[in-house]
Amino acid sequence: MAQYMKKENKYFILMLIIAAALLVGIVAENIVSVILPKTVRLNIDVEKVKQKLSQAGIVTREAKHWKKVR
Amino acid sequence: MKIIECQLCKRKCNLIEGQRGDCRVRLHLDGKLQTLVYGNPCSVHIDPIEKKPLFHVLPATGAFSIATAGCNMHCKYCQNWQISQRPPEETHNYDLPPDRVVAETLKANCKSIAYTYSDPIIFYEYMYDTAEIAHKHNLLNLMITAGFIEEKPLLDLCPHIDAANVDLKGITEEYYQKMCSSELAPVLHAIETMKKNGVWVELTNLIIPTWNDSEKDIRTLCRWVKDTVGPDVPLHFSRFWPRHLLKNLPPTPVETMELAWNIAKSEGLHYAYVGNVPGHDGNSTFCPNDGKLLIKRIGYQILENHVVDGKCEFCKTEILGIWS
Ligand code: SF4
Repeated sequence: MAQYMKKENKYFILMLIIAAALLVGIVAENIVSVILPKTVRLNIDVEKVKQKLSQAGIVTREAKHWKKVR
Repeated sequence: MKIIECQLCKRKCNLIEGQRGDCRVRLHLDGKLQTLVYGNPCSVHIDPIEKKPLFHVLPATGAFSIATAGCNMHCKYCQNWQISQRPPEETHNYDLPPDRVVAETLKANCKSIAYTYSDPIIFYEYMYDTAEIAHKHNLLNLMITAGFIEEKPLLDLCPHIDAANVDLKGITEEYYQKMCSSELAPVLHAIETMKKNGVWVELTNLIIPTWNDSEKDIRTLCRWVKDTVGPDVPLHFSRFWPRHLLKNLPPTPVETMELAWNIAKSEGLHYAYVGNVPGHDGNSTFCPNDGKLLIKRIGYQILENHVVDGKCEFCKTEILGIWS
């Protein structure tokens, strides 16, 4: 059947397929980001943090008004 | 994984070890919350107190003004974004512990210390300790803030703060959320709390074209001020100038500033001001009783002052503020 189609129609159908694929991708990414727990991505190298602070000459001091959550 | 919660401002950041809060200057390290800016301001200036603006506090005196990097607000129009939206590693910082701030203030013959430019809430401990020492030397403490703070730290701080200018940026939650990624309700609560706890409060409302310049918004804001904290709380309307992320907007037309000034007066506010329009009548203070000119200002400069012992020189009406 494709051999009877005009060239423009073929391109149009190709664009539709690409658009549909993109849409599916975006929806899937959103679902994954909602389902995954937010803390998963956090992994901080504390030694590196301390090193960077001392390189910048920053001296820390205990703050007021905070509590341990867990 | 241990998590601690910062309870200083309404963001209540939950932080794992090594993580910083939204303000960039408070860090969970070694199981504790640490401040990164104590004694290290990145901005130190002597300003006329009128620049804060505080028009009812020791007119024509200098305010020793300090700020550190960081902020817990993220306003699209921030005029100090070079320091407020940066961590302390990216600013040039001075070594100025609280006792030296006080010593420098006295040396410069200033009558007050202003915690300003970025939001001083995020350098709370530095401000608190400096303010305590300042009071022992009869200096006033001025907090220039957006008021986005939890009640408990604010109540602890109030006895050490004499005057505050709170930026009441708008009067809708939508505005606060879209313009500053923040909330209105805690700010209103902070204004009330300061007032109830003996802090002299003045308010600033920056009027931005198309964002918060409608007659309805301005009137609602004025009504809130009058009904909640009273008609004697000075309200400074400030003219917007394009900057930071809002360079696409024009400056606020002077007519809009005048509209706001007239609305405030018609709603019964005793002290409404027009800022960033030098030479405008709205720079000056008028007696709420006889309407006479009391303090004539052009920008930050004072040309005449007819407030004597906290009263109108002509009709003796009390003009609220800190005058001596
Ligand atoms: S002060 Fe900073 S760390 Fe604390 S809650 Fe506010 S933004 Fe978060």
